[in-house]
Amino acid sequence: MDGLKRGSAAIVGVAESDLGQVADGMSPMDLCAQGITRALADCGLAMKDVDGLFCAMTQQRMSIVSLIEYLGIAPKFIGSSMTGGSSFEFHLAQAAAAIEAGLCNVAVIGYGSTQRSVGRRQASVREVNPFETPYRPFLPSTAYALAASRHMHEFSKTWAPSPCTWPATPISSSRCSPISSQTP
Amino acid sequence: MPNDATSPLATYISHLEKGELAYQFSPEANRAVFFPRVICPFTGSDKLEWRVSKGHGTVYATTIVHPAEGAPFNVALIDCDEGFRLMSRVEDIPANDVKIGMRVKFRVHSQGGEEPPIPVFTPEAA
Repeated sequence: MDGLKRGSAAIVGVAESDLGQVADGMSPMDLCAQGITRALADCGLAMKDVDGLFCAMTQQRMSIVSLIEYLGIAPKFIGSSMTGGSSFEFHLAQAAAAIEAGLCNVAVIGYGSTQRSVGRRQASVREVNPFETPYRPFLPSTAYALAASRHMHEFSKTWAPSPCTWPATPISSSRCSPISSQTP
Repeated sequence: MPNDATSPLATYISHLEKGELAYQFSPEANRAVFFPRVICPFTGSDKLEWRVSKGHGTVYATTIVHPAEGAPFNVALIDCDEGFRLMSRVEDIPANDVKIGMRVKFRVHSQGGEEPPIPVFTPEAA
């Protein structure tokens, strides 16, 4: 159990897909493919060089299978662990391990989402938890707000809104429900 | 091996229908277990006993959800005196007045229709 060898793999190309409100009809897979193409261009590699592929998405069941078909490649090693926003850190660890083990040479980690364009309700599968759903928590925000309320209570912090990536809109005109956490 | 005759959720709901807040207790871990499940998360044992809470608890964490439509409402985590924590809400007072550390008392809320009853809480009489 020596773990991964330091320096056995490196991140060589990085890119973003279109962001924010994207063109009508653009799918999560379109955006993922866009990002992958741009990341390959960033390091001078081609799609045919890719022999490892990783992705995780909320809008697509078996997203890795769809992505393989979309890209038209047959990677030797794939991964699609779904752990929410941390999925890609796990993909990175798995990709590094696969490269070190000689299972692939060029691994791409992709993601695409049209949540901003289609709205939150269309962007993820509704999950019913009989012990939580009846209280209508706005997840994941409510979970963070509850943790924050407890943190503020224990450590005497006060609440301040964090800088927002998107321009703030009034509650009445907002498509998604904003959430606030009260100061205890 | 025959299938289990009932689910943890069904047992939990049957208690709520009698006006009781039920939870599980793990004798091997000597700890309360919530949400109800088929094995103890502390030991892996399937030996879990059902117990009925006295219904007294303390607000552990609280927040207000502002839905796109309708009035803001409270969502809270409640620590029951028997040592388990559950998501719920505190009723009868404005969402803004729910405070961490507040003593609360369980009551059953009927959701109506096909939905099962759920536990909610109200402030303990001062």
